[in-house]
Amino acid sequence: MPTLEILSTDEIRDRRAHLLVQAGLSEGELRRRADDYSLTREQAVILDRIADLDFLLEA
Amino acid sequence: MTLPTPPRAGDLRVEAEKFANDWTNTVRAVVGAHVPPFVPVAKDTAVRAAVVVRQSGNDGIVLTVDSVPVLTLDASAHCIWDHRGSYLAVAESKFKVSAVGLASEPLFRYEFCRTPNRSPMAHLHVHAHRDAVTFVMTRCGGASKRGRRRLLDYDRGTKGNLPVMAHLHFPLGGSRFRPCLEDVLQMLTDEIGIDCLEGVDQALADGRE
Repeated sequence: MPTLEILSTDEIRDRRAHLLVQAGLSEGELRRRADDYSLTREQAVILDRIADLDFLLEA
Repeated sequence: MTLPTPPRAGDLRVEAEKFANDWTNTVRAVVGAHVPPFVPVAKDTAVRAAVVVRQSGNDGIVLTVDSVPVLTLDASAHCIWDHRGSYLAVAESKFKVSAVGLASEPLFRYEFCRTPNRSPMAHLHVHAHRDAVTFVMTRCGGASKRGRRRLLDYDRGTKGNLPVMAHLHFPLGGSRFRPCLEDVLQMLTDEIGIDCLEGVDQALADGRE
């Protein structure tokens, strides 16, 4: 069963940057396409994961 | 007066893993053991715990009818310690239901936000279109902050040029009565007749405990 993964602030930032590279779009373009629902499923999942990381960064 | 006991790192691990395991067990009891698990991810601070629970992989929970994929359910939660520091509370949760193979716009979304910005804490977004709703939304009044914002948004095109029903927040009964993952799964089994394992009612009842 899943084990809790604990990330440092630097690891969260690195992971966030890596996700944007994976998306192949700038963050602004990713969000613009999200508003239009024109993201691929993979890109939509990436944006959700970025929101997760932002939540952790703000904590 | 007793001050809240600061949470310990060990507690966070236990609480977060229990939360993720509960969701994994519920979904697997309904859909099958092949469903990828929910995994908790936390920040390395024991003072202000923040935990994200999301499914591993990119596929979500694929729901089938007669073994044909029909719907995808995406579930996630952002958790914090409650004000006493004694249990993990949901700060935000999202359950998104989409049709497989159609546009990326979901069909509907159940959302909960513990500290909402004037929207109901627990609410439903319905991604459907009806001319009469659009017509009414073009006539939003200025008596509320949200109404004024809608007018500005549509005027400037920042939310698209046309109001859509998906922008409305249909309230769902506040924090205590917000739909949980089991409620959404139950709705989809009852209303859509998705394929599910035997004993699904008991599994959902257990999940609600």
